[in-house]
Amino acid sequence: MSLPLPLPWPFEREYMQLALLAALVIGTCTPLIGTVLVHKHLSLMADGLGHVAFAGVAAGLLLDVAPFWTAVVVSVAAAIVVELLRMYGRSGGDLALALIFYSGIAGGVVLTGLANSLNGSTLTYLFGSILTVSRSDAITVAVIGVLLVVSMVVCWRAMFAIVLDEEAARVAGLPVRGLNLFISCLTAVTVVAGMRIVGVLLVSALMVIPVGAAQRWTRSFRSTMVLGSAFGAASAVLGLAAARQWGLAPGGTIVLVAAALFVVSTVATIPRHR
Amino acid sequence: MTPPASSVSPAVVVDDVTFSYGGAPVIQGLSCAIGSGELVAIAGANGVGKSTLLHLVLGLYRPEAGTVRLLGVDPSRLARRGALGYVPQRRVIADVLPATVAEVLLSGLLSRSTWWRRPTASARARAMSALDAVGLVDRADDRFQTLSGGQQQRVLIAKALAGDPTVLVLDEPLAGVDAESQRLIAAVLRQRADAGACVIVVSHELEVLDPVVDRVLLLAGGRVAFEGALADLPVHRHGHGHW
Repeated sequence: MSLPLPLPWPFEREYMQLALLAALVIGTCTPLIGTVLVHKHLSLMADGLGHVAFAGVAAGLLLDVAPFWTAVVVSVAAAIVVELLRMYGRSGGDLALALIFYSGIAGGVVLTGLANSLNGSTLTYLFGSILTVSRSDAITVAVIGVLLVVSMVVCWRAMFAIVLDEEAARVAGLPVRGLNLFISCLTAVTVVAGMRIVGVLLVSALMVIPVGAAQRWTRSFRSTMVLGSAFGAASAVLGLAAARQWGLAPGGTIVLVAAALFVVSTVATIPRHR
Repeated sequence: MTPPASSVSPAVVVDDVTFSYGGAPVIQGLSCAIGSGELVAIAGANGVGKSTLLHLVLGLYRPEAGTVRLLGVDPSRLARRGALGYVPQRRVIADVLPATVAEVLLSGLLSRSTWWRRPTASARARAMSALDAVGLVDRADDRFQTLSGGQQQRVLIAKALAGDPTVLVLDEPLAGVDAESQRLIAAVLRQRADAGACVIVVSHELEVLDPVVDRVLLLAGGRVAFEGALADLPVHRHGHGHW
């Protein structure tokens, strides 16, 4: 496909169209897994894994390997460790998360120091750099997005059953441990995919805030996932456009638009929740 | 009413089972058998091991000594998990969890071999008939949290019935439930037992179960201290309908 496509302002340039594709994929997909995380009371899981992904980026910089893939490997490994700690450890889920969270950020700082790369390029992973997304970056993000959507379409019912009552799901024979591991790994991959868009420090916001906004309006779990995705996509498009118009940091602007949608949803639905 | 336990096929057999938490014994040499078509209440003081016994029967815990057979096999190896219906001790489902009554109900159709598939039309119809049995079929599209506590419990029972289980296990299904819902739940459980299911209920509300239950197992000291008709239960004779 030849770019740029004939899109109107502010997406008329090729770099904006690549950014739009990546932002739409992340904006649409993150609330899908976010709906499960929020209702499993694991909203901070993505945040913790984001910090570990930063350690993966630093390892990539140190070893001179593509930081994206080292971040995938390290954050998926951390997701598995967190889930195993939750399953078999005596510590609770929040303590397990905190352990990984702080170790990840500390490891990232030490490794970037060793790689002598604690500079502006590191900040692009922390806060995103969507306007420099290449075609191969966009394709990678799109492929991850498709895999995530397919996974959620197949697994959402079982994930809902686990959210509702993990013990009953186990009695029914659902592979609860396997699905919990899968949820953690999906979260890790999604965090890394969103790293270039809004940064590892903000990607968890896109998993949580659109879900919070959506559930003000919805009655069902499925419709919360769908509307959360719509809010995430709208935040991505509007945030990107606003960033272009006023010269703002795109990642932060996308998250602020999502936060604004949450506030509007909360205020607008106050009469329904009284 | 069903025939006595000795003449029906045992769906659940617990033989000389011992179980402890961190070295503190809860169940010690407990034995019992419950047949298909029976409705059995398990009673006893708090902490006596009623819920633990259910967890052992369902394969969620493994006995330290003794054996448990569920439908003829070790419960943890039971392949036909769809044959089980389970209502855990009531939990507060978070107010913020967005879920319709239908979503909660249909989650009861998922099993080891079908969890990734959309339930078939016939399975959905069976689930809706379970919801009808608890008198809430007209609330299928409502948000679960808008139901009263008793209605929520009825939905959770319909969820357990959705897969048409041959063994139905309920932990305190009547606790904190309004009188009308209690009577309706008791009647539904009797119907399931009459249809051939093995129904095991842990409950303190024995008076409500009195008209429908076949036997009572009273646990004390980690064992079955009494087994028989509710009217013969020693404390019950003194007018205590609540254990």
